[in-house]
Amino acid sequence: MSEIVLATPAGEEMILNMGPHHPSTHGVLRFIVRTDGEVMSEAKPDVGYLHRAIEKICEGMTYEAFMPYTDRIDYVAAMPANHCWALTVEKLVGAPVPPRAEYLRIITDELNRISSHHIMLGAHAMDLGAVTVFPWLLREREMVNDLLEELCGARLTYNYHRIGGVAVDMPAGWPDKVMRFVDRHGPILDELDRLISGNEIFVKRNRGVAVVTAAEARSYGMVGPNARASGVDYDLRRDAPYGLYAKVLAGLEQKGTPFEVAVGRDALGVTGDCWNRFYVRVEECRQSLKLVREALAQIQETPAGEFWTPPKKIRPKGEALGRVEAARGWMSCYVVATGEKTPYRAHFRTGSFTSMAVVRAKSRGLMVADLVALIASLDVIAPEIDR
Amino acid sequence: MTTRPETPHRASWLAVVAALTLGAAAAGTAGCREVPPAPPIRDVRPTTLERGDTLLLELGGGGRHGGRLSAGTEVAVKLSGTITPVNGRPVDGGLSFTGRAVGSAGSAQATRILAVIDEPQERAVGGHARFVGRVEITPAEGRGAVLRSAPVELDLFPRTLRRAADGAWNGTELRRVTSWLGATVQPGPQGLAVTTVTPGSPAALARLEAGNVIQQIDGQPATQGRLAARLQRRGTVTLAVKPNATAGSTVPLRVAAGGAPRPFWGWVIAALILWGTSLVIVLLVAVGGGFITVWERKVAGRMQSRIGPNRVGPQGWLQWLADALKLITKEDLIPADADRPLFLTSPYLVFCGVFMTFMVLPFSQLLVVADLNIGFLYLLAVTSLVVVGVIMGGWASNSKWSLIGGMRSAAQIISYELPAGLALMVIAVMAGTLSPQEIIRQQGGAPWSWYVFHNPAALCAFFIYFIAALAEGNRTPFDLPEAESELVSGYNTEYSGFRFGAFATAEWVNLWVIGALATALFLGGWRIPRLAPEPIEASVWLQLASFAVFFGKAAALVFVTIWLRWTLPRFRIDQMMSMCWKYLVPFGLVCLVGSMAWMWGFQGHAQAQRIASIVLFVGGGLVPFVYFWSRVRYTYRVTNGQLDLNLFK
Repeated sequence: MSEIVLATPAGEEMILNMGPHHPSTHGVLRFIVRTDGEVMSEAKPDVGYLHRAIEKICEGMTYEAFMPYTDRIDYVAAMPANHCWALTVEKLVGAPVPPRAEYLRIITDELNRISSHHIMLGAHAMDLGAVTVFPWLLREREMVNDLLEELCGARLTYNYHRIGGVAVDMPAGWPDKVMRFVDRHGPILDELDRLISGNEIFVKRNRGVAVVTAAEARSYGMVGPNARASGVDYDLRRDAPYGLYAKVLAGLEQKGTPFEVAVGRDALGVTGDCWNRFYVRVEECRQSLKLVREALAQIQETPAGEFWTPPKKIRPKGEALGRVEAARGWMSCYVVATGEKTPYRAHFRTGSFTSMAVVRAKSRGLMVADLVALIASLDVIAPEIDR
Repeated sequence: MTTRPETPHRASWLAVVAALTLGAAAAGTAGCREVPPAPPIRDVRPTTLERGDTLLLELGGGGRHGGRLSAGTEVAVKLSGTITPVNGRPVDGGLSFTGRAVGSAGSAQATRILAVIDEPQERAVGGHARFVGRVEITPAEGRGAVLRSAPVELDLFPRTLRRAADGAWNGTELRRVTSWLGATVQPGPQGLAVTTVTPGSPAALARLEAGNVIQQIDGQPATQGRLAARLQRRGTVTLAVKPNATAGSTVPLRVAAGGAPRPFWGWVIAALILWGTSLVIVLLVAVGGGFITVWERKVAGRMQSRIGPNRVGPQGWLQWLADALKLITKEDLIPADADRPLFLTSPYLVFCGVFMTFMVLPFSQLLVVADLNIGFLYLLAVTSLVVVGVIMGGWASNSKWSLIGGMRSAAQIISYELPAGLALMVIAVMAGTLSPQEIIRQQGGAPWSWYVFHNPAALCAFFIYFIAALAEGNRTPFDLPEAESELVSGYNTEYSGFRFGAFATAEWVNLWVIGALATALFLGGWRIPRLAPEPIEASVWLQLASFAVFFGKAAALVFVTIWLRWTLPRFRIDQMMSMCWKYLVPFGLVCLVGSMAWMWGFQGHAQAQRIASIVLFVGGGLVPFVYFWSRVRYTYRVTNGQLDLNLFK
């Protein structure tokens, strides 16, 4: 901290304090920016403004009771965080999960991924001045929120997953509504491309800005869409499938519409630049639609009502690591249990935290406006960085 | 005034005798009352005239060379020569008034002729004009010989409120009165020192001499203003005069004030009317700007699948009023470390810079405050005031974000004035004038006779102008100075309350300026298809229709700026600058040369020019529009969208 505060400007430079209250820092992020006019010599992220000690809180409560807290790790995409905690504890206790619950987890995860990416895509465009994209995507996100609200009663912090299943089965008519959304959403994504992805100014603002090579992405530990935009072709859903992802992917393969991991390429942008980080997420939305469609088809074969087999007594002993592909990449949870009612230690590793590290290295020589594009393209969420 | 008393010499004397003989013969045959020949004209005053003024012809003594004219005779006073309207061609012409010969007290001999300039004369003159010729006295019936004439040069003005106000402010009123009096006075320590006295003038008749000091006027201390004011009253004025500044006792002198130029206290009213008119314009424009804010928010709402303001007033159209009230009642916060005077004045500079453009914006043929012949140069000049205000606000706020915003704005506005000016020059070259009204008059009503479709270079110039105007107005995609997501709010970050409102009003009013300017320059302004300017000028209804045409075109362009704002992302500062200097400025120069080459090539080929314009209209106007519309329809079809153009719900 002291190093950050004492950073002195050299020569013509000045220190700009960007955040924690700034329109484009997406929550309470803070950057100490050293600039010479508009050109930055450095932007240091100063994290911790939203630290709530969620991991410490976890040590004081039972495994079941911690589920709502996972919602608050990443409130934009709470469902995968739920999933991550449930997966880890289920691994620890060896609890079986009914297939219907697994499918519901996939559907909700993917729907939540879409809605989370909508926030990122809209905010990215809005930070670069294209405001209309944001309300358009919020409109679509509202539909996802409606669906999830009908399923679990909450629009933002779902608390839907349970150890050994999910909280409720899907209501009657819900699959049709989801299908209606999926059918509608494909053309909307095409429209989004026409509106912003290929927009000349948008491409100019993002092309070649803050290029992170695949090697750099690995060395910084970047995960998820950010790493894939740099050309790291790795997706947990395909390469280390959990739950019934393998089955859903196989189903897609059979239908001739295989799941394709969206990877950055030299198209309108350069691999690893802000444009690719934007477009990888547009592509991921398309792939998520495929997964939802296939999972909805397969869930019809599972018996209704079998959505939760609660474990009798959760007093695990040992260590377990659960990994899911959350909206911001790999979310992994490592739990050390000592046979008590409460975990001895739990730790979450999140995508935003590792992404933040790259800001300082990549900000040198960028302009202040580019920093906004960089932050937006990394899709960092303050609570996910700090937890 | 260079009127010289005519010295009688042999030739003119013979001419006068001949004229008199002829005149007498004519009068005799007509059986009219014989008018005696007049004495020579010694002086004509004042030389600056307007309606209601009295022209005073000072007559010399009669005697051997002059005739006699009895006091009370009516004569016709005629000015014949050349009238040159300022900014116009000279016309041969004449003006006639009815004059009355008056004599000095107790004398039957006329010493001067007073002629009141009445309204029909002003109508003949029109605006400010210069008269060079002779003043002639003829018998009242207007027939017969010229009794006397003298060379004269006059400045003729219509009597307008504005001129009256100008006169009052510039002291012309005093000059007119002292010119009549025939004495020049200078304020001194003891009173008004008389420096010169014209022989035969009212001053001379009152025995005022050069070197006298007027100490009191009607018993009150002598000032120039009081002298003018008293003389402008009817009757006599009593002056307390010392023979000279050093010695002598005060002597009362009486000046016969009848015939002095009448006072015109209308200048007070004139000033009030000017003030009121400008207030009305500012308020109307501000209200118009307010409506644009609501319109913009409603359009933005429709574009973004939401409703927009719909609570205040009918369907939300009075939302601007609520916003304005809120801003006015808010605290006008001034940061502790701000540079107070600069911080406080900068919003008004921005405000003035934008509002002053409305001086020359031609809303219709008659709805224009001033049709300056340098109209667009004036526009470029006053809009530059905005950058001063913006950079002052950015600096004085003492906030880094504001400073960056101000600096960005300065760089941007100054840079983009060049392409805007170049695009303007394309039009100036085509029209041969910078007057907005004249540029509009030279275009036609139909789209293919607008300047935008005149030649390919002009079409490019239109886009260059529009892009540059967006940049000058800080509108997306050039809204970097107030980029919310980068600079919080840019140069106006630290402003609140009314001052923020001034910034905001100026910004939205500027939208209207952009639209109106582009309409006047490129889109034919208020011209109605198939109608020449003259019939439009003649009819009130056609005036209103032409205003509607202008308004419609400008509103369409305002809509485009709104639509662009809610569609496009913004440029980065380096991209914005390189776009200006590397593309728009060179391209603007090419357009200028191209336009000139086109005009040279098509000179005298009206038919070819017409065909080319129609081809450009189809290729540059219709085809892109049809393509655009088909794209919109395609998007609506694939997304099951619905077009919602109703802004009244």
